[in-house]
Amino acid sequence: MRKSSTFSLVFKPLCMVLLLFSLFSMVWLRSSVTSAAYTVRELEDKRTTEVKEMKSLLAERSRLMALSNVEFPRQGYAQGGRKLVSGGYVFPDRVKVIHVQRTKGPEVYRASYQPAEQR
Amino acid sequence: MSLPGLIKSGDGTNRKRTVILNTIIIFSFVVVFFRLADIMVLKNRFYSEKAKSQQIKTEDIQTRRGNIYDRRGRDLAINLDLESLYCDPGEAHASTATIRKLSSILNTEPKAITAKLSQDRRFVWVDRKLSLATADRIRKLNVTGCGFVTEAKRFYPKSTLASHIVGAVGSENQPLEGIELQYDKYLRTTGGKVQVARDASGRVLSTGMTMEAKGNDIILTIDEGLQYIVEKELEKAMAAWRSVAVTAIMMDPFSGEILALANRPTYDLNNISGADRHEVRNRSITDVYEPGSTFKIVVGSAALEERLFPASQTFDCSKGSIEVGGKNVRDAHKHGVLTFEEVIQKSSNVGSIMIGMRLGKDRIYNYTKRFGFGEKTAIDLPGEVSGWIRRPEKWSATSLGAIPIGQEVAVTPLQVLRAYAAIANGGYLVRPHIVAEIRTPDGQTVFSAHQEEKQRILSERTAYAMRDILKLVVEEGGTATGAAVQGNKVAGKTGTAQLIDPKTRRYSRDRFISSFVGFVPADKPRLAMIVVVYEPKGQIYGGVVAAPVFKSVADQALSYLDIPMDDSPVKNLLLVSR
Repeated sequence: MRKSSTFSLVFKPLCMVLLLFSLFSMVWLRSSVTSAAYTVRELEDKRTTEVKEMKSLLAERSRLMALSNVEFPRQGYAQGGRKLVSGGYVFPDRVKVIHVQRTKGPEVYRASYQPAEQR
Repeated sequence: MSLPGLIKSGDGTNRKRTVILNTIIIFSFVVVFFRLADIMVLKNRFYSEKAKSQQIKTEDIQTRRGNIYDRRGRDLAINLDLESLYCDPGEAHASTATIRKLSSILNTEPKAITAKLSQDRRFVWVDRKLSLATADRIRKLNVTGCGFVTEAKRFYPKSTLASHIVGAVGSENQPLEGIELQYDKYLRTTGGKVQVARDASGRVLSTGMTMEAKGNDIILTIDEGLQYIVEKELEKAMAAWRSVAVTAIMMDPFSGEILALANRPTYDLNNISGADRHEVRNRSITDVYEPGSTFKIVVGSAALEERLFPASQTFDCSKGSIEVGGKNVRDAHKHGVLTFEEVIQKSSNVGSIMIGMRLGKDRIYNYTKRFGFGEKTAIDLPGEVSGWIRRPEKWSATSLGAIPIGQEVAVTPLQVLRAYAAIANGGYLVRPHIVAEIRTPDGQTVFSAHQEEKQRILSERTAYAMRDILKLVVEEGGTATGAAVQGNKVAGKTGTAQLIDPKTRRYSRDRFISSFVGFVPADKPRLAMIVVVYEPKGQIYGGVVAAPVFKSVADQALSYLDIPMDDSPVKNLLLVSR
């Protein structure tokens, strides 16, 4: 009899509290998930905006890297001088290009011991 | 224990009050219960639909065309995400000052904007495909009832470069020309719609899906560097000879990969609406012309293949002319007695006709077809024409004096180049192509170009013999010394063809097409190229007009590709600048 009364006195309210807590937790969790989903979407929108910006910057870089721009960049005067400079890219003069046999250069002197298999 | 609101009392008046109060409370609960039943059960569908329309929003999955790259992965056609401004005239409210500011940003008349805002519709485009910076400036004006939609715009970062290859799209991204048109089914993709939840303040719930669908990327065989070199030199040639048009194609003679293809005049890919029809035309495959002397390789190769003459055979061209079917055909200069090699080297019409007469109609026709003339090359670009050559039974009395020297046949520059590539690669007819690979957005290859079974049209012996003869053309005594490149031997042939005067229906005396077609290095060909100059002024000969263009392009292209000079060792090379 005494045992039953203790159970009622302690566990029943505890169960009620737990039940209520669970209910509120579920509601809170659900609202938090929804709120997180809205935040994710906001971040996705931000990313979309940044991607748009990135795409236009990449396009601009690609335009500027065109060979016509590389060979004939905007001309200007050299610093302090009067001479017009182009600073453009030119293809190498084939007459001034020589082809030589690729050979191993002299080895750098190593003071430390190196086992044969690592050499 | 008593419930709140239910009052118990011992006295009569209070009991009455209690009953009334309890009745009111119970009645209220019953009313609430029935109302809830009405909302939740009877009008369930109505309210569900209403909630759905308020909470669910349909969003489009944005579609983007695949990108186009050159063989080294450099951008030729990409997409930009731009903002389009719309408004709902019913909701739109803007003061005169705001409209004035808006018109100044959009660079239009305020009247035009006012007219759009006062239309009797629910949706009006104010302006489309605005830059992000412009859109930001408009956003700051806070115009009620207006908003932005992101739209894709095709952007060609290299502007006019490779315009006749890449092609262009219209304002609604519909394909119009070039690869954009030919490979549209690979480049475009389908979008679709997605339903997303939103709250009362309009915030949208994430779906976790990618809201963009992209088509396949295309990798071309062309090289931006080579394309640029070719276009730069064509521009110079066009100005120097005040010609009507210029065309050039560069190809790998072994694989048929087009490395560069250009025409002048040209157009800006980002502004195709401002281009004239003749600027958009890809003359290298859509225009036919009489090839003139460049066609002499057909009779030359046929004679060698058929072993028609002994090596010591000579041709008496000392008269400087020959009569065929009552028509007198002349040489540009009198040559005297020529060997077989000299006939090609000096481009003698008389000698070529003599060879042609020995070959006969049928063999000339058969070899013309073997070289692929009179049929499409099957290049993967739109608008290619087949050219034509009449069947032998329809030849006139003068045909035997015309066809061996490249008259009475219509060819495209690409067909001529392919014929010379066959000599360069040892006797195989290749299929020219421009797309190397098609890849899905996640990098998987869905198509990869490979050379189909090679079709041998000449024996290796004939091809090498013709190659040696074509080398003589560029050497001292030949017609194309202007095509010689320092350090590497060039093999090729000049062509100077007369155009038909539309008034007299005869060959014009002042309208010509000058051309040079060849390959370099002659003994180990890496590049085959044709240059065609339409109606040059001042000079007419292919050796004077077109050959120097070939030389300028070849000089830079060999340097660009690090192709060593003929006398360099070929293995284990290291480039060193003096």
